[in-house]
Amino acid sequence: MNEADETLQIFFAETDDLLRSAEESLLRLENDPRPGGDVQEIFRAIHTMKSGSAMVGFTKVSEYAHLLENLLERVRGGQLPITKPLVSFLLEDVDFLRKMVDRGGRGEVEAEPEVLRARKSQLNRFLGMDAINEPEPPPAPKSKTAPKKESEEEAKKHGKEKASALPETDGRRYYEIELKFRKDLFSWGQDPILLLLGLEEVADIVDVTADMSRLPDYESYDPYILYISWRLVAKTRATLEEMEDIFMFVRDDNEISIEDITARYKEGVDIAVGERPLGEVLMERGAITKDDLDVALGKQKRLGEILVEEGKIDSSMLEHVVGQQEESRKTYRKTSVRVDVEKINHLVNLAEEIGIGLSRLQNFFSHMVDMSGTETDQELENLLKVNREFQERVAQVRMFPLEGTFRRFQRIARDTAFEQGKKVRVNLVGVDTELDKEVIEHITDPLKHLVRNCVDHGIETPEERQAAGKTPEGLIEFRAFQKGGMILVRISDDGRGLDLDRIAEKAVQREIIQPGEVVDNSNVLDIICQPGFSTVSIITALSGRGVGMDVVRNEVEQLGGTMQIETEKGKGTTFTLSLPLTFALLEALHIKDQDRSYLVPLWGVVGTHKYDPNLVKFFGAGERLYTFRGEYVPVVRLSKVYGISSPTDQSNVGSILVFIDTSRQCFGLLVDQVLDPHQVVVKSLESNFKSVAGIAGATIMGDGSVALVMDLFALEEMFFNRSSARSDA
Amino acid sequence: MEENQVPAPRNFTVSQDMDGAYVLKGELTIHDLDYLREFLESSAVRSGRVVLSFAELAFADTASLQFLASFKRGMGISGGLVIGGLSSEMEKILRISGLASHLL
Repeated sequence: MNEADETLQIFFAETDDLLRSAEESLLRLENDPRPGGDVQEIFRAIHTMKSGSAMVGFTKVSEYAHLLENLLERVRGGQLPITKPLVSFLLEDVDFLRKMVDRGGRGEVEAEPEVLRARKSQLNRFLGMDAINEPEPPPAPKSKTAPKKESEEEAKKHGKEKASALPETDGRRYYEIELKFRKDLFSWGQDPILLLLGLEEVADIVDVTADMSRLPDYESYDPYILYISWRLVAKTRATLEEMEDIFMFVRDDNEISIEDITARYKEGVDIAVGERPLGEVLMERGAITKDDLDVALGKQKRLGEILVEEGKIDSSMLEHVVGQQEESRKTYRKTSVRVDVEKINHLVNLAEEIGIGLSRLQNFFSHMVDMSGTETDQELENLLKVNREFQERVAQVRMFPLEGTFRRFQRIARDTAFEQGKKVRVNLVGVDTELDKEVIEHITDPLKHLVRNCVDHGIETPEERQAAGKTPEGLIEFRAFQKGGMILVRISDDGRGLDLDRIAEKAVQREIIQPGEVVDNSNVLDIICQPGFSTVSIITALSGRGVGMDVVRNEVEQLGGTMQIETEKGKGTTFTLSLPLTFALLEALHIKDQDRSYLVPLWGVVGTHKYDPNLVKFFGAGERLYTFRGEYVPVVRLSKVYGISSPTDQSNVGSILVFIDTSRQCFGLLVDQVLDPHQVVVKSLESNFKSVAGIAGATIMGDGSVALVMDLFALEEMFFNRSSARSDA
Repeated sequence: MEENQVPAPRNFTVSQDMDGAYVLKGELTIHDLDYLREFLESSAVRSGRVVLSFAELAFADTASLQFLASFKRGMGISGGLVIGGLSSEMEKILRISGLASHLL
């Protein structure tokens, strides 16, 4: 890591601390709205951020922090009262600054001008100043040759948002455009700004740098010479030829280069930029010269120096803390490294390949000679063991604690409650529980909706709670813990609970259940997860955000997880999400049926049993139930569930029953053989072949054969929808 | 521009508001640069600081913005040229030209 990188890393770490501290102070301030220590703490954090961001070149962050400082100065001086809206606004500002720093850190513009301007307008309103007057924009100049950019309405039709910071890969390409015009361009009646406005009609300009390095001193400035050149990145559906057409009238005698950089512009960000020092990037773009950089680096002051100069700390304190930081960073550098997730996934795959190779080798040798107990056999066993541990270790790299995710939910709960005049206390339990990064990313949105739902529709107003004999402040708890091979995430509230009578009424109206059928904890989730299901009292289109419970459950199930609900009128509701620890590795039981290999995820296997005809009971229309651990469990031959024809004379004698419990239903599958448990990397069937009902993916076994990995939830659906299959077992 | 050159008819005016800021109105182009330079320089001599408002400016071409950047640089960082309110058109122009960071 070079010095510039290190400075940036320090800035990021400091920013994180400062904003967290400001956020905590604001939350305290909300409960105790008096100018004092907390206001001072927020002021200090923002002031420090202002200086720090200016030092690392995050000018917009610094600029906004400066404005915020003005606002806080008034709060500190008692000229501006501390109100809930003000605290909310300041909490949003904390998020806004965090976002700007994140964007800046990714090499993006810290904030789009319109976003920054809107934010400033809001801030001005708190300061008692008018918002910026915004006249309607004039009609933009037309480009005769250029293709039309997708209009906002058209974009909406396609379900997209305009100017989103999120990556859009639906046919849009990124072009890097360099414009170096002849210096007498103006006298040819051409103007680069008109060209850029034309470009903006067909493309989103996502990054632009005006190189002013050739601009002379004011005394020798000639207004008829063009000194500026540009480098920009545009995102568009237009082809390279269409992009070139925009500059067709200036193509000759000017240096215009357009390059398709879509491959390099990963997720909307030039991945090459983040790896290089800021000064180097600025030099390459012509924004500064080598001399400028050297001079700036020479002048660059460290935060500690500024604080000593300003008399905030003395030099001995600075030396002490800097010494501690140095030690800490040395240790951190020695013990940690940032790695691209793709590289880790690649390692997981390689470890899997090695494992397969070793198993095949072992298989190959065992067919040649009796290997048992030989040195080669032992070596292979050792290698397999080492490789298995290697796979597990690599998979662990992808694991992250849930703390950050839970903290975000804490904030969402607080904000949602505030908007609705409710009071909530949030408890976080098990924040150190780790989950696969990808699983966390997938569950964040569904959980967010559940949190909003808890506050929106679960927690009552303080008055309602008091009338019901509860404390005015509601309680929401986020709890995470491991159980078997799954992580359980539980969100509970002590609110009003679901109105099951109202849900039953609505479900009958929609013919989801029969009149008179009871709705309770065992079936309420299935009902409220019906697409579009809603009642006045239990809203499934969560918080008016158009996301139904069906979407939430689907997302969880796509991860191989399950969702449960427990609700009690007047007492509250608990949602429990059962999630796989990781995507990378799956513990599974290898079974065979009709010469086909399958892998049953071990988390769902509750036992196996050699088929005994005496334990079979017949019910109804030939339905077969098997006595397993004192209970009757429906059983069916696996091939029947998958719709594979099986020999008609099959007696099931010699077959093995594998009992599955998905935590919703228990059922048994008749198969030919039960082999060993395996730890495997699941490959998607969908991306390599096609989607197959009841199959989550595939993997290659040690003998080179392909085994299909069962999707237990889909299998469960197929099982219980096949009443005829059960009768055929 | 030569001294004898007659400025083109302008769709551009400058007025001064009560706070002393110069409010640019209309469309600022290369043809207005002499006029612009004159009052910028005289204002700078008087107060050492020039405040411009783009709130009513509908367009500015490259030459004029380049000139303002040069003037701002010439005035130095402290005090110098300050640009206040922005119309949405100017917001867009400064954004897509990358000149916002040099002028604001």
